[in-house]
Amino acid sequence: MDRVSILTRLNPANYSKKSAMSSIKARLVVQQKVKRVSKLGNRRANEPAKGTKGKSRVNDHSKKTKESGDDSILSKYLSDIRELILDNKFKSPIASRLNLKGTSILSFKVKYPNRLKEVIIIKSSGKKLLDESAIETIRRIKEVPAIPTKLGLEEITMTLEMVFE
Amino acid sequence: MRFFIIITAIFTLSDAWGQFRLEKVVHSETSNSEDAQVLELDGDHVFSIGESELDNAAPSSVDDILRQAPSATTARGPRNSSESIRVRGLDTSKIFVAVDGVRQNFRGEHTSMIPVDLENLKAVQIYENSADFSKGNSLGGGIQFVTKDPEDFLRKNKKVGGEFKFQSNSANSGSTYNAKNVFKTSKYSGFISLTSQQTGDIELNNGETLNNSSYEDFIGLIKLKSGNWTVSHEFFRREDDNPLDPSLNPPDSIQSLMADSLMEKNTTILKHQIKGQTANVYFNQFKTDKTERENKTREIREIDTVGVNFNKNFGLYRFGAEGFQDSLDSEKEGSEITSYPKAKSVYLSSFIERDINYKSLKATPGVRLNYYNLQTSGEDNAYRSAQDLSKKLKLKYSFSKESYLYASYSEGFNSPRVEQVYPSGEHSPAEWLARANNFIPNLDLEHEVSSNNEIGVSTKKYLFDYTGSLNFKASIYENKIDNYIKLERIDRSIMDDEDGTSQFINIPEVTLYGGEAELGLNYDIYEWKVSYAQVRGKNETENLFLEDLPADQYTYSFNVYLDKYRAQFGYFGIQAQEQNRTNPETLQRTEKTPAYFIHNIYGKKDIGDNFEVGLRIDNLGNKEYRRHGSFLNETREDYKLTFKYKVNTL
Repeated sequence: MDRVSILTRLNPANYSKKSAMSSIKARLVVQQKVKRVSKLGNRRANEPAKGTKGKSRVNDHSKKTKESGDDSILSKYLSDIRELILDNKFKSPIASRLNLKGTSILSFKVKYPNRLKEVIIIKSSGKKLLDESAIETIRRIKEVPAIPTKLGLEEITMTLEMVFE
Repeated sequence: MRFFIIITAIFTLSDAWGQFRLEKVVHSETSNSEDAQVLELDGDHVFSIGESELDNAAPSSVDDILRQAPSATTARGPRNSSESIRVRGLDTSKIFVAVDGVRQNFRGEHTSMIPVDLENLKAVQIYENSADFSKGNSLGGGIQFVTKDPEDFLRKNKKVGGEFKFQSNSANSGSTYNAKNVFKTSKYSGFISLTSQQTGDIELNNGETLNNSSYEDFIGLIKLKSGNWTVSHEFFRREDDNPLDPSLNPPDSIQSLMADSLMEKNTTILKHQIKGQTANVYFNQFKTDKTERENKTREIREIDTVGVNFNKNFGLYRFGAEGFQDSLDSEKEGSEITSYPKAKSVYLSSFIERDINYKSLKATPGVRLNYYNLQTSGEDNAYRSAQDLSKKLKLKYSFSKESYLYASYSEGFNSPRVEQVYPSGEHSPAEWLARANNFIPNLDLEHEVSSNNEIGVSTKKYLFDYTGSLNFKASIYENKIDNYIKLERIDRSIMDDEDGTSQFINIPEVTLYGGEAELGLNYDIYEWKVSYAQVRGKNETENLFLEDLPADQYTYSFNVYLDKYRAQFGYFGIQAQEQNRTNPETLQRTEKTPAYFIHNIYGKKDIGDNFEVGLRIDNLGNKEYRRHGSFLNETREDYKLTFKYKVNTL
């Protein structure tokens, strides 16, 4: 955990509009939304959903409260990150030839505006080649989208389960 | 204490806001189309030659591919018009041969080639016994050629792509050109591939040139996918100057044995595939048109096959059905060819099987109902039909995730073919001291059935912290066949009162048995493999060896994958033992075949994003050899040079 950045985020100047309780609530809402968006399958999260007639989902949410608007922005942002991961999926050729299977869980951070850092394995598959492949998947993302300014976040930490089958 | 509580609270809150769990990402080795494959291939009974091996083989014939499978061989080469496939000693009249699920049922006189588009193959699957109940009408497995789907070509996130390939073969001065275009949109994907191949006469490994062995091919394949539907059409056309029997080399002076031939195949398939369910409807038309050089008579043989197959997984159950109808037609100087009569044959089957799991033991019992009928359209309008129930049981005991023992029992069923039941007329004309030989129909010809027993072991051990692995698998089998169909030819001399005869008959009892073993080691960028295969066959009724069974054979392969440099090179060796299990006391043509050891090397390299260059040398050092069951020597040292220009393709 990057202690400095946490303290920065907790600085009232950056964080004054949200109480601690509303943060927890927001996290739960966002997590549900991230899951819902990712279940859309191959459709990119920023494509308009059926029936929206060209209006972006962000615009749809703009009529609601600011807080839910922020959630929507965050949900879209996370969804975009996952899309990028899907586009850069990688398995080492040696692991493929060995037909290695397993699950690696990794964590990485995006520091404002769009710097990727601290890509680490938090639960190893037990197979070095698969863990390396999972890390390489994240490293292959050439350009991480910038954290939306509206979110007022210094950095976002994400965990990801990569299943090799 | 108070300070500690405050610090703890800060970390909890911060974790609550800044850390998110993304939905899991799955990296699957298989493409979407394979995910939907209904009956997962049983690796114990199906040997699969994948895309990478196919690429390394730089194949210009089916034989170039099957050399890599211990259980499958070809004979009657080196002209590929006469190439005859065998799986564990059973020839193409006793096994199934399919391309994308479409039965390839043509078995013409001396023409046993399976026309396949070699430029678009994704896999070649060799079913080694009859345990896969979705593939009926076979005494012991068969071969399935699987072509690529549009998404198999394109690089990630690319919508359109194309490829141009040129390959040159030195042994027959052959040139192959292939061009393809691929596209993918959110709703549709598809590709079109056109291939042209021209060859000269083959130079053999004994220094001779095999006259009348050149050919010209043109092949087109178009495939379109939308959602769960795929429609494809393949066109194949070959013109050659091969003898009437391309497995022989008659002198040019005997023009009556020479022909100019045209072979055409058209296949249309409509396929519907969803996870756990697949269905195909198809039409396949195959025609040969041979013009004898001496008297310019034309012989046209045609077979139209209409078929449907359906397979579904339902929990632990798998079930399916298959049906196809062959319509045969022929013409020679205004009338039908009596050895290839106008007739229809129908085969229908339906099966169900299920898995029963108990701790480390898995049992798979199954049954399949088979039915066939044959009907000629001639004056006699002879009709015959039969049905039979096939049963199977497979037991698999797993010691660990990667090691298991298995035992399987499976029955096969093979209907007689029209040209085996109803042939008539002249088989060969009178020559010198021999009288003519005539076909005799056999309306009592029974269908063949087989009982296959197999036991095997498979184990895999990961080494060096999962950067290497050691694999071993072995199996032995026995295939007992009742009513084995074979051509009985009785030749008579001018001293006899009557002509010779040729008739397909049933041999009550035949046994095939043998085994295969494979040992492989993978480490980092290196891959070694050694395999061994042997097959024996006995006509128990007459106490004779079965003809043309392949020699016992070792294969050795070694590959180095220079992933960093996008290059690969390798070695493939074939060491065949002497095959002396022949029947010299009979009139059978096949003689014993000396042992041989041939070496092949290959390599390929990607250059930039768009170019790929490959070189393969077959029969390095030009070993002089002949394969058992062939009457001619094989090709000489053959240099195959390949260039590919790729735009957005893999």
